[in-house]
Amino acid sequence: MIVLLPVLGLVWWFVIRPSTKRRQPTRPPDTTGQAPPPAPAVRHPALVVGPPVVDAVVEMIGVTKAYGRGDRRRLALDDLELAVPAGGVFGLLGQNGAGKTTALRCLMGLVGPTAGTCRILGSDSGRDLHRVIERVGALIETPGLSPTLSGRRNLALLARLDRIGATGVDRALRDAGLEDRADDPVATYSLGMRQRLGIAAALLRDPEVVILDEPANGLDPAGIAEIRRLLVSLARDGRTVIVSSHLLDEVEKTCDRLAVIDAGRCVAVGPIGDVLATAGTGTLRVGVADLIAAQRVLAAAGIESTVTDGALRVRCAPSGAAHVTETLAAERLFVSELHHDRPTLEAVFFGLTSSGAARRR
Amino acid sequence: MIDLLAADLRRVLWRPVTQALGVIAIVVMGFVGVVVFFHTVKHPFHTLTGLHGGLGAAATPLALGGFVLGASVLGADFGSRAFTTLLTWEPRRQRVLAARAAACAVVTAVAALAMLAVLIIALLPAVFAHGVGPSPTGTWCLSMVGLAVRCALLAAAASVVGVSFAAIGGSTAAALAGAGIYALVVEQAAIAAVPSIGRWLIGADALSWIAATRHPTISGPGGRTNGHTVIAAGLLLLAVVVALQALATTVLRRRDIS
Repeated sequence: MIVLLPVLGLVWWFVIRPSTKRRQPTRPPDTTGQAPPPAPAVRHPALVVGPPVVDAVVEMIGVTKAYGRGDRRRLALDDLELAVPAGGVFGLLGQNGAGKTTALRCLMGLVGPTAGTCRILGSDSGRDLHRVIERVGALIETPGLSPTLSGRRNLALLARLDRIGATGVDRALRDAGLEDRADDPVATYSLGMRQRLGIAAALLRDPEVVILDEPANGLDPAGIAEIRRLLVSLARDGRTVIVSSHLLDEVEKTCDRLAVIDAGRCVAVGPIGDVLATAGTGTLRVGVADLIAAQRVLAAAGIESTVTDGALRVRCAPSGAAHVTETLAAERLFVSELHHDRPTLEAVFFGLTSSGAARRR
Repeated sequence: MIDLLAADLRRVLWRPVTQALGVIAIVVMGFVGVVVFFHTVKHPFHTLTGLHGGLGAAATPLALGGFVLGASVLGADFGSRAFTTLLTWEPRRQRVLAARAAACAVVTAVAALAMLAVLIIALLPAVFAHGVGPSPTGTWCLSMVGLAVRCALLAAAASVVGVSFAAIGGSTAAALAGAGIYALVVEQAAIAAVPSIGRWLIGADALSWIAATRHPTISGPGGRTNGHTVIAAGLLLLAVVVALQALATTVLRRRDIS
């Protein structure tokens, strides 16, 4: 036992002490009585669009997460600020390695932030998450399930923690479409089946806040469409759904609000329509027989247009279409085609992120 | 906490490794009974008093089995990320670890008692066929029960240590390697360097705990030394288990879980 002491000492020195140092706040409290140094300026202000969020269900305040030390120090999250309002589907959009999963891990208390605070339903994730955990369901990255146990037993073990009976487990398995394979070991499941079981586990206790990290991962098109319907129905029931994804199309189809994460920073956040609007109002494609005459008429009315691909292009919102057609009709130039091309999330995403900057270079 | 413990008891019992270890132990003990019956006669083990030695010899494999069970129950959950999922249901890691250790200890202790019962049943035919010695008395029965309980408690402690090692090392492999290095290198090197230290080591105190004589003699590479009394050895082992569990809790609370 005496020999154990140096062993315990080594464990303390190499395992506990470094993590203690890692958790020291980056802005220590002022104990000198002197005026505190000015807070560092926010280096990367996020593009916040839409009205500010009040009564946020989930908050991340100045969250930084660094891995490694010295020259190998790498920031996974860099002063991340997020506020998610109650209800609806909130998307975390970012390319692989942008920090989406780390953000969700911080939120669920799995990873301790180097600086900053995460709150869910008003509780600090690092200290008193247990007070609200019954109201939160989460699937972080790939579903963590015991491969040697069956799907039913995996769910039953979790259900036992909240005293959810066998009926609840059966219903979750039925909803996940896994009734037939419920008693097979999870090791024999396909990636999509595991994903569905993981989502079923997250929803088992009927949570108010649902956090899903790449839920469409490994699913076929039908499965992805099913997940999309599920997310929308959860939000319709009044739940708050936070979903991370790198699938632009899925986020655009599913989410009410989104935050674009790039290199650990939030570069844009707000209602999805408002974020899309930052790329402009879109263009109106107007088909008329005499393009030159039509362009001249519009110019006389103060409407700029260009001729592209056999049609007029007018930069305006969809609501501007009425004014354009009215102006042309007044000069007996009748519209044969009218289509509004709104800006795509892909265009907005690449305009905001470093991958887009790399593309532009 | 009760719900967590109940869930973890099921988790431990449902694990194939638990069931495999149980089956292996029963088969081995049955095999020992058959071998003893057919290949030896007039052996001390064949007397009722000699059964003590049989139970004492079973303590080491039971403790090893307990350690492997504890290490694998937590280590496998780290590997499969089932531990991550569990933390999204119960984020208080100290509770999760304590419940897991308690579940392993309970399952191991009960299983060890069952195994020892199987061993006694396996040895009884040899005792009746070839046995010599006195008839069982109340004192003998009591000492047998005491020995079985001490074996079961040692195995339970080993399983808790296994859970602690896995929590510190982050995997089953790290736990097994850590235990192997401690038992085969650290303890042996310590005894070789300072022979008098032997009685303070886990191995010596485990022997003292099982032998339950007042001052058992412990042999080792550094010579022979007097071990602790059963009470002192038990308390020292308990202190080690508690210290390791506390260290494991501290490490686990600070660790980033992927």
